[in-house]
Amino acid sequence: MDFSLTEEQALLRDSARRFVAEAAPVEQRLAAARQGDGFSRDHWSAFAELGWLGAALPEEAGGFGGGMLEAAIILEELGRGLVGAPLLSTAVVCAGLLARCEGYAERLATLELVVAGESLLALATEEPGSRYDLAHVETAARETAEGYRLSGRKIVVLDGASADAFMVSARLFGEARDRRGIGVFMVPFGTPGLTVRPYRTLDGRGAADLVLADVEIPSGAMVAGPDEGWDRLAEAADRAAMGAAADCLGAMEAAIEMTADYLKTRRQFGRPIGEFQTLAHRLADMFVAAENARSMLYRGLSFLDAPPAERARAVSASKVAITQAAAFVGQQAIQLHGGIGMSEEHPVGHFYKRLQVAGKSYGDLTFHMARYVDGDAAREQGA
Amino acid sequence: MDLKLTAEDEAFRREVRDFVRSAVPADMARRTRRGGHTPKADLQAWNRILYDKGWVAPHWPREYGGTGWSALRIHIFEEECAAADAPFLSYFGLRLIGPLLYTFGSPRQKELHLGPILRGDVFWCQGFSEPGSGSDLASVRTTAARDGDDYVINGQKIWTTEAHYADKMFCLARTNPDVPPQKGGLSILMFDMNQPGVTVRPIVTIDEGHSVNEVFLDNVRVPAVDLLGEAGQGWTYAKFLLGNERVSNAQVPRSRRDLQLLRARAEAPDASGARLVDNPDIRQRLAQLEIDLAALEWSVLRVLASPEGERTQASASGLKITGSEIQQRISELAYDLLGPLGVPFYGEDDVAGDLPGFASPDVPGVAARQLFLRAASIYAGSNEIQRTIIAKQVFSL
Ligand SMILES: Cc1cc2nc3c(=O)[nH]c(=O)nc-3n(C[C@H](O)[C@H](O)[C@H](O)COP(=O)(O)OP(=O)(O)OC[C@H]3O[C@@H](n4cnc5c(N)ncnc54)[C@H](O)[C@@H]3O)c2cc1C
Repeated sequence: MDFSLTEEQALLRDSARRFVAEAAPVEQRLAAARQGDGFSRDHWSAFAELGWLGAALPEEAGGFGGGMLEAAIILEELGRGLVGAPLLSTAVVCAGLLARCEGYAERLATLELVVAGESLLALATEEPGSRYDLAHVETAARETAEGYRLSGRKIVVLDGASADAFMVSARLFGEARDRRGIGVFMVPFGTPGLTVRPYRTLDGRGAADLVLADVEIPSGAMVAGPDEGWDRLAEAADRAAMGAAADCLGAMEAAIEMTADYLKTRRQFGRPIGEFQTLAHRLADMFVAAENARSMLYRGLSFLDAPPAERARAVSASKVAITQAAAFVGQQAIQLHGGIGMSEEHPVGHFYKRLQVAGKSYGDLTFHMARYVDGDAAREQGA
Repeated sequence: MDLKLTAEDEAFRREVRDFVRSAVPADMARRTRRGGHTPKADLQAWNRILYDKGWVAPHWPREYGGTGWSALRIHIFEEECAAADAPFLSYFGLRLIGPLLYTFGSPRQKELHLGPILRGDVFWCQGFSEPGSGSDLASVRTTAARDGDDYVINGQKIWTTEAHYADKMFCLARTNPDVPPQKGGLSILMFDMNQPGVTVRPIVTIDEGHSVNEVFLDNVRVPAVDLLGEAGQGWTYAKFLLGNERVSNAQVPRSRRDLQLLRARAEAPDASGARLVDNPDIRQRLAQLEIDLAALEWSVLRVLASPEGERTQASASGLKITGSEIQQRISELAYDLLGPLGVPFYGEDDVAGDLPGFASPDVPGVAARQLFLRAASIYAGSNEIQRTIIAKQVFSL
């Protein structure tokens, strides 16, 4: 084991950190996020130039040979700076899924556009009532003479408000919760029959619901077929969960730094409030929580290439631990700021909202706790 | 000790329930259930309904418009109001300045102000906190300088709840800069919000709602007769208030209702027949909250039943700590139960139709409420300050 960054990884982190530090101040960016896409198109072009959009892809797929560690390094810095950009959705989750679907004829062409910053992709798996269960797919895919006809609804498609194309899970055969029978289909924005209902998220980014009403797509639009669809989605969702976790780590640490600064400058009763030991200890507990969360980030990342059952269990453990730490850190960061922590104009509350949304992306606490428990039960039965 | 409700108490509960259930208009109940910042029109309308019934201020002494009910009956009444989703009446007149006025005010001040508070004709706001003076309230810098028959007020208040629609402020200010604030330096003054020199600027909170404000006071002229009670007694009055505030901040009736609604939501089957309550983790968290709320309720009843003089600040502080934490935990569990529907932002106007995520109408408001309730452990004396009070008062630490 080696926890130190390679030279390339350290460079990547430094460049991400510098980019965020030099970007517009957080307050300005948050205000801008309220309008339009919820992120800056200029940032996106810069990401492409910096090579971040291919950082997590193998060279064979048009990337720069990195993997989830590289993605996590960038995502952490974006979380630290509250940068709202669909990097996780497009360049990590969707691109990662595409890279593994070798039967998809458009694979390299699509990835090339992603890496160049010319195409935004969003993963559409959630349905009303599915609660993160990737096998809960009621959206139907029927074979036609030319390809497939999709019908159904997808909800809370992260970064779906600005996506150029959606990767949609749809059922070719089987019952609503069967793992077999699920395909993944590429549906470009603007395809007749596809309605995109955009809205913003609690933390000011863009999401959307999709209504698919007899959407006709060619047979080549199937990215993954019914025998491998669920496996590819499950891998992608686990990578996504760890990506969201990396974002959380950055946001947590920034909230802690901000709180520490506040404890040194805010004065009540004639002294800096950091001199009240209860507050100093709380800050120490926040630090400890974030340290443990970081350990669970690395642990989860280390299992991403493990066999599926082990991978799922480890990712769920990480997601549970990090979501719990994030709740504590975010809440206490507000608490220690007093009234000003409640103001929308102050960044500290935005860190909390970012942590909450990350906590509900790619499986929430309840989902991952249950999946961990189920994994345990399965192992006991198997033994 | 007799730990049971009497048959008369039960009959009283039924009487209250019958009245309240039919008296709360349905749309008002719906807005209350949603849990946002109650619109002034609802506060006023419900205030009027209770006033007409004679039940608007059960906790006030009878001579000033109270009902003469026991503490237990007041609690039953509040529980029934919450259960019927009645709005929670504006706090500042009925809970704060009203009791201050009938306890310390001059006959003229009582005559002038108590009636309009009861009728809901005049709304108040509390101008205590300042940018530099939150937990350390005694350090307020707003000054009220005597000038003939008037005081002239200058300073800035912050976090002033409802200042944007209040008619009057009661304001903590320095009237004597030469003595320590706790020993005669502070007074409370009452004045109209609608006058030259008073500027209100909204503060949007993290739930993207508007209930608090900054208030700038620039040479605001207040006749000396509008200084509450005696000059120099501001700190005594402030402490009296904070004690009152903390008991009602336990918010048991409201938490009970929130928890009921939450359990109902968790027990409702979704389209495929699954129920959230079948998840053992969720079932346990609900049970834990119910147990903790039961403990809090009985603590409130014990404190309310003790003679006024024997109530300690420490017990009130304990209720405030537990009450605010339970409110926060209930709202967090409600948010957790949303699953992915906790991601979209729902605006104030999202009540029906095609909501983000095709959500049912009870989803909007849940995320915002748990965000706003982060304030419950900050306002009315932060929970850190309450713990310090307990350590000092009970254990002389
Ligand atoms: C939603 C909301 C509504 C409000 N409504 C009103 C209103 O209507 N009228 C009004 O006058 N005020 C109102 N307030 C203000 C509220 O009373 C103050 O926010 C509160 O007293 C805390 O003060 P502060 O914000 O200045 O925080 P600070 O006092 O600066 O506290 C910052 C942190 O330091 C901690 N701290 C401070 N001193 C100590 C100590 N000695 N020991 C340990 N910890 C300490 C606090 O607990 C907190 O965690 C409201 C506040 C909010 C958030």
